[in-house]
This record gives sequence, C-alpha cells and structure tokens, in this order.
Amino acid sequence: MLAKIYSAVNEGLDSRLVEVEADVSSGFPLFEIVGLPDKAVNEAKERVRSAIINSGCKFLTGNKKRLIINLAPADIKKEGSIYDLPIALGVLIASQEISLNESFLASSESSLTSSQVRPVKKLGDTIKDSMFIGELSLNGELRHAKGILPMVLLAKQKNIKNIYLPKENIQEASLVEGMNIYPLESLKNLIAHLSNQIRINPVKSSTSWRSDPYEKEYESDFGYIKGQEFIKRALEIAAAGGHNVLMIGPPGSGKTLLARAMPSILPSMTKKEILEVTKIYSVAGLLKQNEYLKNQRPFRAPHHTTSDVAMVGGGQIPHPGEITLAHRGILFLDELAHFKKQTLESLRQPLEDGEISVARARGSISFPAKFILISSMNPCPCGYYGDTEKQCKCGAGEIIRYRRKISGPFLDRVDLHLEVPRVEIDKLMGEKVAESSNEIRKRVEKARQIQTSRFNKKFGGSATKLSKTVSKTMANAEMTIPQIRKFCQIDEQGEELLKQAIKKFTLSARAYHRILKVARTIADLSATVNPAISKHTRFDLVDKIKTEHLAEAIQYRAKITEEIF
Amino acid sequence: MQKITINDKNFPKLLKKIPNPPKQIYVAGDLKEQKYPLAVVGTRKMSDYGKQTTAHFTKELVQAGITIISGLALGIDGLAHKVALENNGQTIAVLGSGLNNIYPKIHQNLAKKIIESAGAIISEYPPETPSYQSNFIERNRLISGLSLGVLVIEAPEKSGALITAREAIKQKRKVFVIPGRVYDRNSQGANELIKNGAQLVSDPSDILKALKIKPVFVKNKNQENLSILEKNLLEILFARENHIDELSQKSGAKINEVISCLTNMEIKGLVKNLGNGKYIAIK
Repeated sequence: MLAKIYSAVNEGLDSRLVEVEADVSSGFPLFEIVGLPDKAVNEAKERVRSAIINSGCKFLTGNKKRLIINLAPADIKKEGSIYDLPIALGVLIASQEISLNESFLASSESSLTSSQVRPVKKLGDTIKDSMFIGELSLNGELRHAKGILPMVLLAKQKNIKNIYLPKENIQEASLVEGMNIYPLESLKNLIAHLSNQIRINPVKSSTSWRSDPYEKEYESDFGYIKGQEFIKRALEIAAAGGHNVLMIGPPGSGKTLLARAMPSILPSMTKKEILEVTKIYSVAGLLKQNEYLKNQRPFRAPHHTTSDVAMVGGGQIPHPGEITLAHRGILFLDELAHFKKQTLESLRQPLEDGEISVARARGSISFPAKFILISSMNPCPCGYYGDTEKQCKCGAGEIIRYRRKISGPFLDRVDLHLEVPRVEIDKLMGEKVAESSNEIRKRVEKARQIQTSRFNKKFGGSATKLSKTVSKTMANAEMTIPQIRKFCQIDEQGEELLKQAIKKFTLSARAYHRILKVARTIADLSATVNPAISKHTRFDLVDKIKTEHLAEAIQYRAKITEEIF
Repeated sequence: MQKITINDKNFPKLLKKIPNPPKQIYVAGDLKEQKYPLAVVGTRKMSDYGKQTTAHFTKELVQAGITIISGLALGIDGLAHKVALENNGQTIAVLGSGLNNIYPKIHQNLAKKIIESAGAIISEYPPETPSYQSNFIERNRLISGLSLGVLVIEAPEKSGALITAREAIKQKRKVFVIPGRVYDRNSQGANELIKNGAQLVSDPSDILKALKIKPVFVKNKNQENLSILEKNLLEILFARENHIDELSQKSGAKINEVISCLTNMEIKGLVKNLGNGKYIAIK
C-alpha cells in the first residue's frame, strides 16, 4: 500500500514542499530511501525502525517486507533529520498499522466544548491537510528540529492547516498566524492522537509577541561607558542613518566595548524584521532551546581568521554566512587589517546591495544581508601610533603598508571614519553620568521614522532594487545619487563651506556624497516637529540641510589616507 | 623639466658656493631666484608637538616671504611643504631619486601641487633614477645648500635632519633648532644640536631677526566675526592641544556643536587637527 505525507525542505531561507511517499509491498526484505537523501536522512532507517517498535507498533509484518521511501521532488537534496517523523508515519500507514478509513475528530474546531458535537473526518483527509516535521530518538521521542519557521510559513502559503512537530518547536512555529500547531512528545503520542485514544490540543498562533526594547536587557549600555563622547555621537549618527563605521585607535581605547553597545541604541525591530531574522536563525539552527524569537537586533563579531565562505555564506547546500546572520543588526569586524583581503573584498557587493547571492553548481540562492558594518583597527602594526602614553615602534613604511591593507573601494563604503583615543583613567572615574542607551535610542527612532516616511513612495521617494528577501525600509546611508540630489539640498552658505572644505581637505566626489548623506542624518536627528506639515509625517521631510550639520559631517570624513604623518 | 648645469647662469647661486656642488640639477617647475630660502627639516614620525610647531613656524615664515625648502619626505618635511602651499607660499622639494620616480609615492600629488603653485622639485640625479638610500643622504647637502639656513624641528638621535644640519655647518649656513622636552625620543637630536651651538628658536621672529627679514604682520581676517563659542574654543586651544571631548566639557557646549564649530575654524585656518580627535590653535 502507498502512503503520502507532507513535509518540507529548506532551500536558502525559503522552504519547498516535500512529499514523503512510503510504499510497502511483498518481496525481498528491503528498506530504501530515494530522492537525494544525505547521510542524516539515510540513517533515518534505523531510527524509524527502533522508534516504531519502541512505540508499541509492529514494523513490517507478514510477507510485506519491501519498503521504499521516496522524497519528492526527487531532484532537490534533502538534509537533516526532520523526515524521521513523516517517514515513520508513512510506514505505519503503508503497513496498515494505522487505518486511513478510521474516523478522526477534526482538529480545527478544538475550541468547541466537549459537550458539543464534533464533526467527524476520515483520517486520510486529515493527513492530506497536515505537515509533519521532527527527528525521532530510538525510544520514539521527538527532538528539537531546526529551520521550522520557513516550513510553517510555507504550509500557510500552501493552505496546509495542521502542523505536527516536536513540542520544543511550538513557540517558534506559532509565530505564524492562523495555523493549528500540534505539539508532540513522541511518536506514540501521535499514534494515539490519530487513532482517537488521546487528544492533543492544537496551539493557535501566539497572540502577544512583539518587540519591546524597553524591557530587554542589552549586554552593554552606553550609560556604562564614560568619556568618548565624540565616538558615541558618531555611533548615534550611524545608528540613525544606517551608516557604516571604521574606528581607528590604540589597544584598550574601548573600540570593542563601544561596538558591543551599539545594538542597544538601534531602533526596535518591526514585526516584519523579527520574522526575517528569526527565519535566518531558524534555518541556521542557531535558535537556542528556549529561544523562539529573535527580537533583539543581532550582533555578530566574526574573528579575523574567518574565511570568505563563512563570511558571505556558501557550502554545497548554501548556508547563511556571518553577514546574513548580522541581517538587521551589526556586523562587527575587529582588527580589520588582519582579515584576509579576499574576505573583505567579498563584503563589497553585499554592502552595496543589502543581499548576497551565493551561486553554486546546484543553482544560486539569495540571502538577505542588510547590516551596519562597525569595523575597528589599530593605527599601526604595534598599535600605539599617535598615542600619548606609549611610544610607537613602527617604521613609517610599515604603517603605510598596514593601512593599505584596507582597499579604497572598501573604505568608500564606510561613511563615518573615527579616531578613538585612549581615555585617561581619571576621566573614567569622572562624576558625570553618561547618557543611557534608552535616551539615545529615542532620538535614533525619531530620525528613522523621518527617513521611513521620506523614502516611502507616497511621499515621492522611490524604492531601490532590493529583492523580495529584504523589506524596503530605507535609511539615509542607502541613498542613491539621484536621491542625494533630491533630499540633501543645502543653502548657499553650506555650499560655500563645502567648496572650501573640498579645497582644504582635497575631498573626492565620493567623499562629497558621503558627507551629504551623513549631514542628512544629522539634520534628521535634530529635526523638530513642524506643525505646518501634514499630520501624517509631522516632520519636514525635505528641509534643507543646515550649515552646522554639514560642518559636523565633514568631521567624520576619511582621514586614513590624508596626512598619515 | 629642464636640466641646469653648474655653468648655466640660472644655476642657484647659493648652491654654487657649497664645497661639493652637483654638476647639474634637474628641475621641474619654477626655479626663479628666491629671496629668502630656508630649509625646514625634521623626523618622519612627528609628535603632536612637531605638527604644531611645524604648522605655526612655517606659516609665519611663509607670510614673511620665506621660501620653504625641504625633502618631500613623510613627517615634518611633507607637512612643511603642505603648510607653505596652504598659505600661498613658494616651496621647493629636493629629491633623492629621479624626478620621474617620486619617493615616497604617497607624496606624488603633493609634488604636483608644489609645481602648480610656482614652486619646484629638484634632483641632481637623472629623471629615471630609482630611490637609493645613499642618494638621500647625498641630497641633504642640496637642501641646506639651496638655503640661507636650516630649521630643525624634532629630530631623534639618528635622523636625516641632523645630516642636513651638519652639511649646513660645513656650508657655513645658519642652523636653527626648536627645542623639545629632554625625555622625548624625538628631541634627542634636536637638543643635541643646541648643546653644540645651534641657535635655539622659540618664535618664528627669532629666525626673521637672524636673517634680517622684516617681519610682516598679516592680520588673519578670519579671526574677525567669531561666534562666542568659537572665541571660547580658541582661547582653550591656545593654551594646549585638546580632544573634542575635553573641549565640550570645558566650554560646556554640546558635542555636536563643538564638532561643527571645529570644522569651520579648521577651514578658516584658525585651528589644526592633530589627528586622534585632538586640536590646537594656530597662532
């Protein structure tokens, strides 16, 4: 007899429907899985066999000993252990341990009280309407699976109402609205449920989840960092406009600490962003056991030995890399000059496009990669060039070579260049309390709100060429040149200042545009509610940039090539 | 580019007088007779103090009509050229390599600008000569040879600037030295020169007096119409260099106000960015 069960396979961050077909027939004893299974899928044979027997059922009795499992579509590689449950169920149905003709209490009406009459359905119909996911242990218990969220989203899209999965995954799955999600403890549990011996109540998608930044605890807070007001101001601008940052400073000047506090001033995530990020972490298997929701912006700090594949994503079956894991958050590259040149250069395209497309022989997959790059490096190989306390021991040529490791095109994608000095001990002890991240974040959120309205089509903005994997919120840092012309207008006085600055600091055309973008963000940070503007936006979206904003932006220009000595 | 031999009437007169003048020099740019040529030399790895003094002294010397001669090297040399250009002065760079092999490469643009602003780059070696180390030591005699005197700013114990100073003594030119702190590595050589009889200078006017040049008072027009915050910051910065954070603390102004104020003043030429977020007022 033939049984057909639905399950899913993840391809990149999206899922595809998989039909698990089980066929039991008479013949020479055989248990074969076809449909490009990887090693883990193939080993399901042993787990399924033991789990079925240990759940009190019989495994292939009588003369029906020939068992074929087909995972369709047969040309996509299947990996992982999530097919254990559908295979086991398929075997049980195909070998008629469970009868499809049995009547079965339909699920979706679970809210009815027991006294009311429940509609009765045949089990066969329910199976058609359900998706099964889960890894079995030998005693038939179900284990936590990874990559659940995209599968549940797929089920919703394909109109499959019921999802059966390990109970550890229940919260992650319930992020998707309008689904009946059945938490399972074991295979025995499922068999009993399907044959009406017990009743498992489905969980409806959780009602109250949202990102609430004010209750969240961040590891570090700007309130704990004394001094470095200049750098903090720059990081506030970076957070507000999505600008990339390069910090240059001696060891122990607090570059890492400052970078780590950065997520705490980023605007809180929208529901859409949370789903995007959770999906990535679900697929990467990085959701911790009791963590089902990524409602904090990610902070990724890959070590400088990281390979380019680990950085951008890849592998035979492409997996998301560090830049995708940093999506909607911070990618922190410490000791930038020690990264391999190739690794850094591979970041150029994603920094521009906000996504990375990984092409392998089996096709190409796009991963989202919209992140703020925070990078840091020492001013010279020994680290103490320009330090007030310690003497630098590097030769002039060494320092130039060290700084040349970062290519011009890479630096072009960094809007804010900062020199971080060492903070003297007595300043760390100062009595003045630093501003907390909460206060800074409020300003950042206001600036972001202005930007969102500005780039919204309704107000004359235009969306850029982002693919469907990335939602279209735009920050000032992503402005194209026509947009800069449109939104970054300056008055005569400002133009005069820029002209002089270009002459004085020999600024390139690229630097010119960067300054305008940063100035736009600074102006947004200082914007006040304008009562004359429509209620909807409240802020003047295309007001001219003031001279003082421009002057501040010039301060963050690239100085790495200018007057090293 | 032109080749000028020692018998040519255009050959610099001061250079002709030194004990071992070059047989010919290659010149790119304008080598008209300079009224007051002065060499400014120093270490390649300068400190904040070196940056400050170079900017201050060079600026005033240029304003008094002095032509700045140096070696286009990193550090004090390059900064001296740059400050001279910023103040619309004339400056001459003497290379240790051929004119088509400008070294260090990072200063290629600087060399171009020197030529464009009525200055010159000079070398005694044929245009294609690569940069040999020994040539750079040889070229130091040209730097002092072209000048009435040599101003040494920051030189550690072993420094090309000291060679230039020694050549200057041989050529009977004046040697001026800006003193440094006794414990600083960058001051060892400079202070040693003072000990051996070089003239200590603590103000640009000391040099002008020694060379019998009338000081010119150029009133910085930009110093007028300053805002209250600008005046306030200038006052703090005249005393000593300050980080942006310190300026904000001392002046009580918000950090973003200080930042934009400093940019304005830097463009006006009132303050100098020393790197690492530190600023100093230019006198």
